[in-house]
Amino acid sequence: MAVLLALPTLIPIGASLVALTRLDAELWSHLTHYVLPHVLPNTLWLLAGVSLGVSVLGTALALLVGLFEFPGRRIYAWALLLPLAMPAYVLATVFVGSLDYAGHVATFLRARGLLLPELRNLAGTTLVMSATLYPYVYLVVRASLAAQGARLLEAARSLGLSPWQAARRVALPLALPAVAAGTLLAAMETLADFGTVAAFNYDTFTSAIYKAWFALFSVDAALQLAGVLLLLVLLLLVLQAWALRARHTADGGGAPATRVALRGPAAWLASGACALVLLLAFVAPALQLLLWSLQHLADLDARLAGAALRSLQLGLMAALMVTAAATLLAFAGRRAPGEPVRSATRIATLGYALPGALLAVGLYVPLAALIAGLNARWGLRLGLQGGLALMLLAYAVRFAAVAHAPVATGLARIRGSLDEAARLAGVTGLRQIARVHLPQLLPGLSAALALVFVDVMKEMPITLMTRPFGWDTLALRVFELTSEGQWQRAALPSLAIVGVGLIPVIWLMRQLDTPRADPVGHGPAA
Amino acid sequence: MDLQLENLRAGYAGRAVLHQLSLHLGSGRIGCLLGPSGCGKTTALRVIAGFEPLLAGRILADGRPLSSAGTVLPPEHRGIGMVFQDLALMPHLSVAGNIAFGLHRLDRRQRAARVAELLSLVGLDQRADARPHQLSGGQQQRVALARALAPRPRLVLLDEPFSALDVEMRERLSQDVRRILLHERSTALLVTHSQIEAFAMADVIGVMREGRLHQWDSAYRLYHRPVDRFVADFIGEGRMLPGRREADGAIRTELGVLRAHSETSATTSAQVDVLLRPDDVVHDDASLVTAAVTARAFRGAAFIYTLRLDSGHELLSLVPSHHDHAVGSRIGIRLDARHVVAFDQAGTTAPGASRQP
Repeated sequence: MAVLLALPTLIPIGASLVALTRLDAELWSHLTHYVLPHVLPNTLWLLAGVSLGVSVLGTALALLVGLFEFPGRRIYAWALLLPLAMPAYVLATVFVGSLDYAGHVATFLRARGLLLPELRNLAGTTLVMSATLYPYVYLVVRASLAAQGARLLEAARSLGLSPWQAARRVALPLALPAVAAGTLLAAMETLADFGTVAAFNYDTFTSAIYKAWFALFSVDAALQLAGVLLLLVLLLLVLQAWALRARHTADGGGAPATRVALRGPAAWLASGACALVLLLAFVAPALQLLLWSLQHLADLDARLAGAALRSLQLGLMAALMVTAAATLLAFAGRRAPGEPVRSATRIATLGYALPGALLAVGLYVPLAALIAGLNARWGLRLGLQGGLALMLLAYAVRFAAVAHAPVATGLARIRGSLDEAARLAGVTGLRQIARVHLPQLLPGLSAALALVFVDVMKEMPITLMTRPFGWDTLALRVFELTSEGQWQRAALPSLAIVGVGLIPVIWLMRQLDTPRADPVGHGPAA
Repeated sequence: MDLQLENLRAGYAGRAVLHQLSLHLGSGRIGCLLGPSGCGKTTALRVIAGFEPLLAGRILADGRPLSSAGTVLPPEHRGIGMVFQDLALMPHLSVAGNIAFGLHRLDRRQRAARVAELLSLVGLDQRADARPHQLSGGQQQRVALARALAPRPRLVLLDEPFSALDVEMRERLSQDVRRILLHERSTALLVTHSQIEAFAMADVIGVMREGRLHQWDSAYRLYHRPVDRFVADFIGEGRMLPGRREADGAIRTELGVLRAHSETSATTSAQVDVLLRPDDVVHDDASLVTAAVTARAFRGAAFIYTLRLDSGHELLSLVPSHHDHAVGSRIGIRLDARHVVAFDQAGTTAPGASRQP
């Protein structure tokens, strides 16, 4: 039964790959002549730019905050995660709305003879996406630094290396696998992104899939583009498996490193760098959103309320469904820890790497064919386009891993002897799950629910491409307003999304703080 | 390097881990801080290395200050090498890379020569390209030592260097390490909780408890001239037997009057406890004093008998192993103590002023 949960992930993968093997010559030549020469380099350059941006930014910030002490460090340590709460497309809205030619900041500067560079290109897109995605690298590198422990750095110091040299020759090489892992996650998000590239009018695979489907009305072209995109995703997955294997077993031992206090200009430089990143990536955009929202409070009408309600409703439905499926999968892994369930879990949790645009078209085509077949066979009148079921299925594939991780971790913490004790007491089967496991699983389950809920609230391409006719969500309002160039009016729904997005970020910050005790004056007293 | 610690106090405000720690380690000597876990010996190493600040006191190297309250010379400027308890080998570097790690100030040729020299000194010429995790525990230990010695530090600190190894390996390696340290003419300070390691490696040993140094002395004097009950109890085996001080200075016990050639004591009252080592209590069939055997431990050449006197007091006796007595039998004993160690009965003698050799 649990094995069946892998099926929804396999459908879009299979459909996209099959589309590549059954190329319609005319369609394919159109794509290779007019679409791919444009979209493929665009996507690859963006991928390279964002990978470079997030790895440099995330690693530098993590090393600074993890190894050194400077004014404001304790605050930056958690505040640098804040950009996670702001979807890249929201930041894009703010950037374009204020810095593009007609934007008020650009106008203000131009009046004083300062011309801002063109923003809606590779550089601008890279900048905005790096600013929102660097926390992926920052997080894993900080965790890696904490795991390295103090001993290796102390050994380097006792061998005559300065703190900076120790960071470069010990901490950095040991953190490289973590840098790679974090960068690959950010790269997957970059491939999956739709809203940002749409706002910047910078065509990549996801926007090309959308245009092929909804502007050219060629779902076959969309599916073939999805097939090429899938190849890129598979490449990243292979790299990821390789990066995870290359991880050093650095049990550096001991407490996390005692931070080296920076003094004078170095301290202020470090503090200033963190402040600048935080200001550009979160504080200033958030204030701008707030300001625009206040200026357009009149937009707070029935339409926006309806969109908010719809977002809420979709988020809740998807959260319940995805968490239930993930829980089923986790329990299957506990009850029948064999290869079939393990493989099914691996496949079912692969969806985080699959872009929403790919999922939408990859699920739609085969399911539409199936339903058309059923209708013809039995004279039914089932419909799919605009079906809620398709939307939820796509969410489930995309966010299964998000829900599975906390549930599986929580379940793994429940010792097997409890199952045995319950069994001896005559409590078995579903009663055992209800009375033994679920109560202890509550934190994991609520984390899964919250994470999926927030991700669905922020989600754009799946919602856009599979929504029932006339449905509006907050993310779709942002998309529609920005595509009409109404940047400032997009602030209100954006602000709501950022507000909801803060929930898991705050949860993450607390996670980050718990394993690391107060760093002031530690050290074994032996 | 000549190392001088003066009244060190370290730890956190309100909870000092070291109190009034003073000692002197001469250049080229191997010293050891010995004590149960939690006694502050590792903290002592870490303040000497510069990883922890001092609350009070001074650390002098060849007469020049390294640390005092408020100022700490950074670890990388001290010229002090360290072998860490968990070894802290760089997992991303080979054996040779680890040994060369601190040699960044040498040019390529000098560096290669020094690495080769150390590889052969620690007997790892064949494993230069191996990664640390491919080595045995003893080999890793030797890489850590070679890495610490490579930059020719003025002082090498060793923090429980053999704790990860099994007992036999410890004894072999401690001899090896002593040979290597002497070959490199380094001054070294070792920290351990094992007397066997301390005796095997060190010229001078300090016994610590709860952040205080009780005695800083040679192994021989720690055993035969302990300054207080803690050192007497911690070093070697033995039991206390109560006695009474006579007017002429001799001590009367239930086993007779002890009239020693010399005496270590800071006693003030007439009621004293005398420390009796197993070799002070001699088996003698002719003796009128007998005691019951309550336990025995076979040590090959000898037995250590645990004996109970009629008064209920317990003694240990070292007896050649051809004297095979069953538990429960009675044997004759007499005292053969050339040097008497006595303490006031009232309580522990405070660690006194006369502990420096």
